[in-house]
Amino acid sequence: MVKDRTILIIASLLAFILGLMYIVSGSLCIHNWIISSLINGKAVLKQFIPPDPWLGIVLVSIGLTYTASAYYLMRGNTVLSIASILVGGGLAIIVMCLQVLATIAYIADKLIVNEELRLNVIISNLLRIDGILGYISLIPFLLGYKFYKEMKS
Amino acid sequence: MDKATNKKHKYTVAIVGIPNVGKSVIFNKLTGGKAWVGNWPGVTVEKKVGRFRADELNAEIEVVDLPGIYSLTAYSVDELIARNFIIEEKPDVVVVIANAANLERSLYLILSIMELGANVVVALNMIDIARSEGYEILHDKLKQVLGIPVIPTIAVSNVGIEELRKSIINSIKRKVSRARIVSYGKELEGIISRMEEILTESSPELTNRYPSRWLVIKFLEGDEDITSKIRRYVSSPIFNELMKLRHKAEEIVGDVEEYITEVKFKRAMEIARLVTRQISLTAKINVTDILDTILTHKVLGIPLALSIMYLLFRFAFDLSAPLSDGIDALINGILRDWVKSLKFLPIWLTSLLADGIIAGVGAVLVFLPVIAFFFFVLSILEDIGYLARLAFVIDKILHKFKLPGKSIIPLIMGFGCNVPAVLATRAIEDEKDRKVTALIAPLSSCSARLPVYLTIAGAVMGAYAAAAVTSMYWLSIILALSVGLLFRSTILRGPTTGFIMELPPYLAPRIDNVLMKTWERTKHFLIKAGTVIFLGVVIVWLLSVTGPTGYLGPEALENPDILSKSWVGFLGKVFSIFTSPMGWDWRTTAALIFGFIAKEIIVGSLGVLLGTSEESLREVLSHIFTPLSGFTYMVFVLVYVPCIATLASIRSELGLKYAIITALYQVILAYILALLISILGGIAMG
Repeated sequence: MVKDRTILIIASLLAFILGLMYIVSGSLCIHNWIISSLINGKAVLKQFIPPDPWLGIVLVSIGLTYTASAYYLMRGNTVLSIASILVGGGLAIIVMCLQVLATIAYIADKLIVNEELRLNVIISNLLRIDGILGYISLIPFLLGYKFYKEMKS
Repeated sequence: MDKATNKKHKYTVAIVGIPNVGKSVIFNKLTGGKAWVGNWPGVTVEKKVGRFRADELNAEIEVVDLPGIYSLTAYSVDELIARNFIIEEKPDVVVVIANAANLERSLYLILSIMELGANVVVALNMIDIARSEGYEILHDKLKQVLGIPVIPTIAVSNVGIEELRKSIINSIKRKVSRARIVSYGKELEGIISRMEEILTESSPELTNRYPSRWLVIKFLEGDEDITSKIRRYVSSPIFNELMKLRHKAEEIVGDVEEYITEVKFKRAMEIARLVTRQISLTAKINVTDILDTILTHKVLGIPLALSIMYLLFRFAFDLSAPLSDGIDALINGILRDWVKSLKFLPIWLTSLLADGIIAGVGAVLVFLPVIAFFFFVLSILEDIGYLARLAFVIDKILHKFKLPGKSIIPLIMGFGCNVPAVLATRAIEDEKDRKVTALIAPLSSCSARLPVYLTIAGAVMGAYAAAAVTSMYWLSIILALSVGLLFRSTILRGPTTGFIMELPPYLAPRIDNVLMKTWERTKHFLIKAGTVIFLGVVIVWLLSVTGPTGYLGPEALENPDILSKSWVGFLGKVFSIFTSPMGWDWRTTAALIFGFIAKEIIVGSLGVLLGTSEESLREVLSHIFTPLSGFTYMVFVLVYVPCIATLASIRSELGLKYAIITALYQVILAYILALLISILGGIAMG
């Protein structure tokens, strides 16, 4: 099955930590949405954590999937542990790619309508929490993919 | 051409298979992707026909792609279409695409089609996936057992397609038919033979048209369609004799339909066991096993499904923005300005072209990229095999609202456009489940409603605009489920069907397939823009520049006082008797009337009726609406009568009665909701 179990443990641990970060970020997205939309108060780190309840659900879902990896590994189910890393990581990367594509779309949009391109918007778009955590997610995802290849062969 | 008669031959080949077996890929490979699409007679189920040339026969072979089915019962429209085509059109060859990775289920369909007396060729597809799962299908043995040609294929890689083509041609030359492929036991077979004799003697025209054994089996199963056909063709005493034999069969085996299904399944499993050889002791882990453990997980499955849906919408709305703005700049900017600059045109014609057609149709075409992007991702999810999982995961939740899991696909499609959503309900086998899904599909907040929300919320909601727009989507889901439950408990009462669905293996999407599906689904929107919406905006323009006193001129569009004297003003004032409790202006009420043509017209109409460009529309609306009246307006737009095209789809799918029910219940529900929110909101705000 998996050749190097130590790396699997490290990948699973990384996925667990990332999972917790995703859960916290997702919860903050929902919190920020409630604060800014319903109470009209001040959101936490609004520039990096958008007030978007749907994105909150997505981030929490990724977080839960990531943390499931450690849970299954502890229970000795390697296949489910790797599956959790692959699905969680895959989704995290898709979210990150969408954020990057949305930034490119923003640039294209401003060029088409001939409006001013605001650099701070571009930077904050790329440095949003779903972007940053998505970049980091490349590591566990690639490791998960390596384990999948090993299992398949 | 035939040497003797010098006559050109034309043959027909039907392609059939369970859903997600690679049927469309094989159809495209055989026909070179050239197909024309129409509808099956009497229904709006898509009929795809292609052709290929067979030099060996000196003939054109017409290939008909039948709907994806699991069996040949009369319970779903798709199954009825497939079986009627095979029986009545009598194609020269029926190619059944079988899934080598799940042979039992495909074998059940093969046996059912063979019982029809069809000339069958089996394309054993996905043999690579079967191998990766640690076994192989002995196709020569399968050929021997069934007595018909069996061709192993990997359609996506073009493996076996040429062999399949040759086999089809050979089968046209040498017809093989083995209707008696399953034996139902000595006693029941005795009854079947006796009934066949009676039918052949009493009604030769019926048995000439349909295979007698199959007719009898279907009659014994209690198939309503066949029973009514037999009743029409035979005399009462003969029919009574057949009924007596049916009762005798019931005494012997109990529920005949159940018994026949069971025997056929046992036979399918027996054959599958016989022709399957294990090539690896441990099945290799594949991507389907890995992904399904998490994506269909009892805890993680639902949040992951919601996440994937969010990403679908985000892709559609965020990434299509530059294209939408580009179209907007081109049509509403450059083209409109150019038309307005044509001084040689009469003023009325310039107004009709620029303020009516270009402004109205342009406002709609702006949403074309959103819809195309939405269907692009939806087609990818469908090709990957995720939509089937989505239905599986959501099934538990939907069952609480007495809806089947398969309802989720039309409901999601509805967020793009309600028309394909209504058409997508045909995949639901149970008639009541199908009807209720089609009735609630228009409650999915289609992309045409979004500009109305954005305009109103942007004008009057301030910091709460995003929350107000999001709440429309939540309300849309809640209403669809609640109304579904209400219909299921009243006019469409009955048990919700169990969920049997083949979960296809995950496959990499094929870009040509995805683009073709996207085009097919988006094309409808374009046609609508060029016909219904075009006509709609011309009507709005005409009713705005004319009134009970006669022609008012294009000035009416710039002067609210003149506009109030137009037909639009008249209609708006009449309807505002009902809408005044919600605090809506007559012009905003008039815009709703035009929303019946297409929801996209509402924003354009508001612009025309309020005598303002779309850029300054929000500013004007902020003086007309309060946050509360604006919100009730948004709710009304979400719920009230679906557009003409959606109603036409419901009419063609379910009949006029259900189109009327949909229009009525939605108007009443919208009015009650808007009034309630208005009253309760008024009380809450003091």
